[in-house]
Amino acid sequence: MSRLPRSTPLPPGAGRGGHRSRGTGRPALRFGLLFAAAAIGLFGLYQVTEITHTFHAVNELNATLCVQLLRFGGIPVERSGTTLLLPTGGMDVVSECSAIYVLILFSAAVLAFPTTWKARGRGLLMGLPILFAVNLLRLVSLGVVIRFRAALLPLFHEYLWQVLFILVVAALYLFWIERIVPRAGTRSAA
Amino acid sequence: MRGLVRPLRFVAVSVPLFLAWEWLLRTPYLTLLAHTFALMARLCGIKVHVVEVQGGNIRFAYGDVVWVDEFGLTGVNVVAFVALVLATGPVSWPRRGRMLALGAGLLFATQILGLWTDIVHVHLHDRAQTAAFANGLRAFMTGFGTFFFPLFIWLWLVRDHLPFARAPEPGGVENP
Repeated sequence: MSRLPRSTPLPPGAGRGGHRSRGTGRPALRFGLLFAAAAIGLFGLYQVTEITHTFHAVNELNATLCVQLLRFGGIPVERSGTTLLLPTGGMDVVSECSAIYVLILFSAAVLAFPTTWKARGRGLLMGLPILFAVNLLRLVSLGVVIRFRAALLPLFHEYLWQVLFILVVAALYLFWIERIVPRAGTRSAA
Repeated sequence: MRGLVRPLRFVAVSVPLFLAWEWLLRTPYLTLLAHTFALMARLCGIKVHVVEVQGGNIRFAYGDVVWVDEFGLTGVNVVAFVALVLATGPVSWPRRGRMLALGAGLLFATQILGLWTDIVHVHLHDRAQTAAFANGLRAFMTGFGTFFFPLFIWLWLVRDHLPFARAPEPGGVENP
């Protein structure tokens, strides 16, 4: 198995035995606790928008954009509120379809990472629109599946949403850490 | 840290894993999950029975309440987690095996917790003052948790590869 160079030197045993090192234990614990706390806090805020029905506007936006993209691709579709009506079936864009869970997940992970607020802000400005766009592509792809192979919808819906989206969040998060989070010990140019 | 997750490898392993889950593993896994939960509940003096596991749905009976949990949508996060571990770049195979065993166990525990929130939901969802909490708790564990727990557990398992030490404290200097 090929081993890639790591950007930080690891203590002996790390990466082989999986033992917690003295160097990463406390920051990792702090990160884990902050990640969980931020996720719970952001989820709570989202729940407030659900209770007050203000989140419905996001669902309508998603449905509208999805309809426009499907029509742009030559697929006939009508919209009634947040429901998309295709000749071969329908699709209701509910809150869970808005990528809100992965947006919360990414935001919580970014906010919990020990770095500067500027880097966090850049991460959110980069990541959230990308996740929103990926989700829009997912909705469009589900519309295409309904149009041409409606029987495969459950497979695509579960795989694209539940499985592949976790990869997207993980990859985006690691990209942010690698490319945007500043390294310790660096100095800005005068 | 570059290469900690390999996207192409993730896709390559997740597609067959997902198909195996969908056609072979889902019902046995959900059956194990449902009966483990029901056994734990009975040990705690709560009489929960598994009526049926079919098509990704678990049908429970609790007192005079029967409810269906579409837990297949939550349980599929096992596939995402296993694919993440298999697509993790710089770890040895023995360690990968330990990550899989520990992580899958933890994920199973979170899924059991998710089913416990069903019991809470049964008790609280029809009271106006507690309905929002009941719905939110259930949504957290079985909706948001589908995404949160696999990533959280995976990040925890690869924490020695995350560059916590290299990041300056808030207010520190940045790259130009």
